[in-house]
Amino acid sequence: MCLLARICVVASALALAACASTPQTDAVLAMQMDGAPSVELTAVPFFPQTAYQCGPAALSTMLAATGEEVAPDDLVSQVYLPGREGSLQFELMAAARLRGFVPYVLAPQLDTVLDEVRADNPVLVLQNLGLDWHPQWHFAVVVGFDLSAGVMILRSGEQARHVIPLRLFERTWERGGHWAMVVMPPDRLPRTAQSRSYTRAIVELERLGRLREAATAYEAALARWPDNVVAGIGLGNSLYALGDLPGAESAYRRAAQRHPERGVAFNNLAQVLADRGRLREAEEFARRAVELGGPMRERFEETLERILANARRSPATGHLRSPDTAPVPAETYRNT
Amino acid sequence: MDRLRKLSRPTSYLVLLCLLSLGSYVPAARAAIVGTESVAAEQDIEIQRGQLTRMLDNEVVKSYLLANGVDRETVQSRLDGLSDAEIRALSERFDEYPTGEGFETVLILAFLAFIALLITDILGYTDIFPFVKKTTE
Repeated sequence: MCLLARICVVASALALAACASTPQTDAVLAMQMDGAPSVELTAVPFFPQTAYQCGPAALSTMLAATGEEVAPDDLVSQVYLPGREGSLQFELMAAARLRGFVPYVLAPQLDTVLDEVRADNPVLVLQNLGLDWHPQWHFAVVVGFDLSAGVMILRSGEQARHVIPLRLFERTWERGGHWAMVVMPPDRLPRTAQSRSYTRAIVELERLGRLREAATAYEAALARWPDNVVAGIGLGNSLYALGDLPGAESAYRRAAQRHPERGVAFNNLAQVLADRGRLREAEEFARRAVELGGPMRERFEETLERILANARRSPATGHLRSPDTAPVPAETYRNT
Repeated sequence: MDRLRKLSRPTSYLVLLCLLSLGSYVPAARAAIVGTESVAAEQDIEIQRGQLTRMLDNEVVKSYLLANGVDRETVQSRLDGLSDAEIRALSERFDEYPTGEGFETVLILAFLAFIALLITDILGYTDIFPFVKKTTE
């Protein structure tokens, strides 16, 4: 086949492919969505990318939107893979965590992305700008949209304002598995956050020892989901690890009130009370935990034994603190 | 890359054996405070992973990162920042995960591929060339 014929074949195949459906855009444009039909977060700064480094540029953009000024160059050592000449999406999340932010992957839906932008949250997206068989992976930041014009507005590559049709956005985004994330400062929640997955995201911050930020984030989560047990215990644990015993006690009490059927709240409350020298109260709550039982019953029994041993050692005041009940550093939680 | 991957598991086990023999893995007396991760694990069976698994996965991903040019000084903090699930996914399928690069540098394309992408850009199916106007539909 001559070259011209080959081009025609490819062109027609691609023309058919170009009519590939964009169901999410169809849905968004068809139904009356709640919320503004057009938004632009003009305050989000722009960091033009340098060669291959859309990852650092996109992440800088997200951080700067929250007020954290970091130049893309300073993120390179955290997120750039020289051997792949690019950045992994997971490493963008890791870098955000290490700076005390909560990265959160959104539901793979276009209307979710639009809702976050409406809530003043820019959204970092993974796109395949090329074709399935010749991909060109790219990170960009969604900062706006206009439904009547049918467009998406992105900070992308070297373009501060890259305006593209929603359908084109959907196609490039779909090839990357509809992956999108927001980067939250500890005191704010994404508009579309789900209770279980968002608190899981905060647990990562606690695991890394960013305890002040984790505590703040758990408080914010509890404000939206007062019945979230992971947030309730997480708050207590973060404060405990920070050495804030009164704060931890108050948090555990709240959790125990909300979850009287869960031994863990009573167990941890017992421990902090023991640390504060109130052994009689501690014993009462430790017993309650053991009674409630469950898969962690053995742990609760250990706590009770330790408290009773302490009480025996100094029956009068119960003020003795044994070494292994001192506040434990956050890393130890990995053992639990 | 394949050879590296085949070597990484036996190497990890060797490293772990050395660590264990050094006694640096003696678990501390269990803290009375039940950790947040344990509470979360109760809700999600898939979150039930062990410290051992994480350590092994760390070694695998570390070797990938180092092989891809990451500095020895920064590799540990990069690993730390990843969640257990992310480290797990990378240790199993590192090469399959895309790395976002951007598009403004030299594209070495066969002539046919260049034409193909030009056409798809014009048709609104791809977004490679800034000089192709992306009009709304």
